[in-house]
Parts: sequence; C-alpha cells; structure tokens
Amino acid sequence: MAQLTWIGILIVAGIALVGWAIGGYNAFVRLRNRFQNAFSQIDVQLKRRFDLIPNLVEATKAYLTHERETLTAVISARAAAVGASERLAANPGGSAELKTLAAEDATLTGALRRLLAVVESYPNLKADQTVASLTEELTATENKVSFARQAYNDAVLTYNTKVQQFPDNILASIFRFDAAPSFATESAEERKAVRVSFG
Amino acid sequence: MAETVDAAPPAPPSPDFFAAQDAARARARRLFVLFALCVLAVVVAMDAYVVLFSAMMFAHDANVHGAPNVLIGDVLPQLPREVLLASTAGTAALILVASIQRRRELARGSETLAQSIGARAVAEKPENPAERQLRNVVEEMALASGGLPLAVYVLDGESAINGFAGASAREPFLVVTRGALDRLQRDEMQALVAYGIGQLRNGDAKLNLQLVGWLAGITAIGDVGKRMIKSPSYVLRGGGDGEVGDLRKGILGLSLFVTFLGMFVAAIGYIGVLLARFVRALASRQRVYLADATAVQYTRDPVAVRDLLRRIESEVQGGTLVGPYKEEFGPMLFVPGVKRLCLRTHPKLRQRIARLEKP
Repeated sequence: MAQLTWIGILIVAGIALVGWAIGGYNAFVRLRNRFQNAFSQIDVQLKRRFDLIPNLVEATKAYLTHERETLTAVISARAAAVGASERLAANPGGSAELKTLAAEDATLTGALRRLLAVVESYPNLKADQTVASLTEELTATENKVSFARQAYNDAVLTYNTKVQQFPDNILASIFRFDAAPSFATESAEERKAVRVSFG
Repeated sequence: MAETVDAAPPAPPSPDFFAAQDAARARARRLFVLFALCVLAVVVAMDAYVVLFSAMMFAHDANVHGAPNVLIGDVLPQLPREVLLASTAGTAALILVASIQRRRELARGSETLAQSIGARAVAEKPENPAERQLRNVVEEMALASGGLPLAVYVLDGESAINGFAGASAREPFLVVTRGALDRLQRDEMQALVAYGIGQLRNGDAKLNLQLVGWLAGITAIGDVGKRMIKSPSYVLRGGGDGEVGDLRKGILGLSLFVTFLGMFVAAIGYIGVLLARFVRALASRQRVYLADATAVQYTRDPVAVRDLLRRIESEVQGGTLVGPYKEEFGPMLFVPGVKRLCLRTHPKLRQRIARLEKP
C-alpha cells in the first residue's frame, strides 16, 4: 500500500511540474511577443520621423539662411540614423546594431531639438502655418518614437525579469529563452526630449 | 515648460495585464454582491410598504364595515401571500429590466454611446490644430501603453476641464471636454489621456460602466415614484382648455392618491440610490489614486499630472459639468463633475496632488 501512495505522490508532483513548465513556457512566449510587437512599433515611428524631416527642412530652409549648421546637422544625423536602421533590419535582434541605432537616434533627436528651438526663436517662422503644423507633427513623432521606445523597454524589462528570476530561469535555460537587449540610451539629453512641450 | 528630472524615472507599470484584469474581475464580483444587497434592501422596503399599506386598507375597511378596533396587527396574518409575492416580483422585475435596458444601451458601440451624451467624434486627421494635437497625444499615449489607438470624442458643450474613458462593444474610447481641448497645454493633455488609458488598462473603465448599469436599475424605483408624484399634471395636461368635467375630477382625485403613494415609493427609491452611491463611492476612490499613478508611469512625467490637477483646482468651476451624465458617469470622470460634500466619487484634488508630490 505504501508503495502505491508514493507512486501517487510522484504522479501528482509530476503533473504539477509539467503544469508549471507549460505555464512558464507560455508566459515566456507571450512576453516575448509583446516586446517584439513593441519593437516593430518603434520601427514604424522611426520611419515616420525619417520621412517627416525632409519636409520640415524644406519648409524652414528659406527662413533659416543663417542657421545652416542646424539644418545640416539634422540632415546628416538623419542619414546616419537611416543607415543604422537599415543595418539593424538586415540583422534583426543584433545587439550591436541596436546599440548603434540607439546612439544615432540620440544624435538625431538632439539635432531636431536644436532645430525646433531655433524655430521657436524666430517669431515669423513660428507663425507660418506650414511650419507650425510641421512642428506639431515633428513633436508628436519625436514623442511617439520616445514612447514606442519606452513601451519596448518596459516589455523587455518584464520579459527579462521573468527569464532571469529564480525559479523561472531554470525553465528559460531549458527552453532557450535569452534576455533581450533594451533600446537604452545613456544620454540625459535624450530623456529630456520628451518633456519639452512646444504647445 | 521643460523641466529636467534628474532622478531615475518611475518604475514601469505592472505590465502583467492579465493579473490586473483578474483583480478587476474579483473586485467586480465583490461590488456586485454589495449592489445586490442594496437591491435587496430596496425590495424589502417596498414589500414592507406595500404590506403595511394593504393592511391599513383592510383594517380601515373592516372598521368602516362594522368591525371596530381592528388593528393592523390583526389583519397582517390574514393578508394573502400574493400581495407579498406581487410586490417582491414587481420591484425586482422593475430593477432588473431597467438595469438590463441601460446595459444594452451602453453596449451599442462607442459611437452610439458618445452620441447619446452629445459628444462629437474627432477625425483621424483633423483640420483643427488643437484637435490634431489631441489626436497625436492620444496616439502617443496609446504607444506608451502598448495598445491600440482609441476613438476620440469632444464634448463641445462643456467649458470645464474634464474627461473620461470607457469601452462599449469592445471599442475603447476617450472623451474630453471642449474646455480641456481649448485650455490644456500639450503635456497636461497627455496626462489627461494617460489617466483615461490607465483606467482602461486597469479594468476600471469597464467596471465603472457596469456600475452605471446596476445603478440605473435601482434609480428606476425612484423614477417611478417621481412619476407617480407628478401624475396629476399628466391628468391636467390631457384636456387643455381649463375645463375639468366630473369624470376628470374623479380621475384627478385618484391621481392625487397616486401622488400620495408615490411619495413613499420615491423615498424608498431615493434611499436605495443613496446606498448604491455609497457603495460606488467606496469602490472608486482608491482606484483614482491608482489611475493617477498609472498616468505618471505612462507619461514618465509626474509634473504634468500634478500641473493638470493644479490647473483644475485653480479654476472656480473645477471639473463641474453641465450635462445629465455628470452624475451617472461620475466615477469615470477624471475629476468630479458634481460638487458635493459627501458620497464623493473621487478623493479631494489636494490629496491627489499631495500623493504625487511624494518622491
């Protein structure tokens, strides 16, 4: 009789273990899908911003004849960021490419901030309808890039926490779920960008 | 305008939305039990009223017809059971039907719901710069919360700053007042939108709409009472030229009697509504703090949320609304739409600001 009880206990324990493994696996998949979705959102917003910048440069060029460097900085930063984005698209998930993109993104954001500040300081430029609406679009796009990044980082953090904490990390290494890179940038200037409201 | 916050940004929102939804469902169950108790109280009160009144009638009848000094207590056991049954069934049916009807109305989709309160839809790509900014802000916050964009509506008739979020037939939506659209800075609008999205994410928007349905059931009793009180005016209205014939005099007398009955019904209904509002107030106050915190987490900007609250605090009208929905949708609003001293749906603005000032 005692042997049957032991077998019974082992079976129950086995079922519980399998249940835990299944639950854990599903959670990993769910969280990974979430941050992958969030990443594609970043991509969407970055592309929007890349497309918007030439329009803004065109609209402001006539007024900003004395601010040539600001405009040039924006154009070249954009080109660099586009390049980094394409390299990442060619090697998805590559953390080196991601780091480069994050850095170029930071540079571009800085250049755009300076341009927007310049626009702010020229009253007749600010009053121009086209420029005003473009400025709003650009502010919105900057914010969207930033929030998409934020959502991605949040999702990655949840995923990484799950994958790294005991006891789920055991499951993670069995099922080969690795920690994901975050779209982080150490620049304080980057973090500032979101809070400036031009409205 | 811009303020660099050097401290580390607040921790990301609890992204386990499944846990949040589960918790929301558990809360909904608890609240339902409390509401059911309110309904029970109203039904019992109505039963008591009907039974007592019937007993009085019988006793009066008996006294008139030659059996003097019959007390109500003597008559009570002789009352047919059907009276009690009819009263219980009637009250319960009324409450249930009114509640179900309201819930149906609320579930017809965000467009229908918005139209029913007089809100106008904001286009995907608006011409108006303020609306375009609103659209952009909503899309930004939708990104920050990892969700899909919402339908956006504006209440043109409201000059106070306020807003709320909800979902109807699985269509999430956000409503802001004209006052908010006209007067808020970009970051303040962002805070308002983030609050609404936070409510949607935490399951509060759904629960609050459920509460609206339940409350409509209990309110129905009071409405019936009010109609009963007003019945003479219905009699007088149908006729028009001031002449009141004998038959109509008779009906008028009857309607005065109905008024008298109606007073008690309205009183019972009103007490039921007060009880239900008390339960609702208990439920909503804590969730407001949570929604504030969620707004901070999405915007990563406690200053903006504080500024928004401070701005509303500084205005005399606060968030006070004009339309009839201000009471029904009370807990869903960002700030109270009605100034009241008790049974508050939200904590005081001062307290909310103070909580956000803590590091």
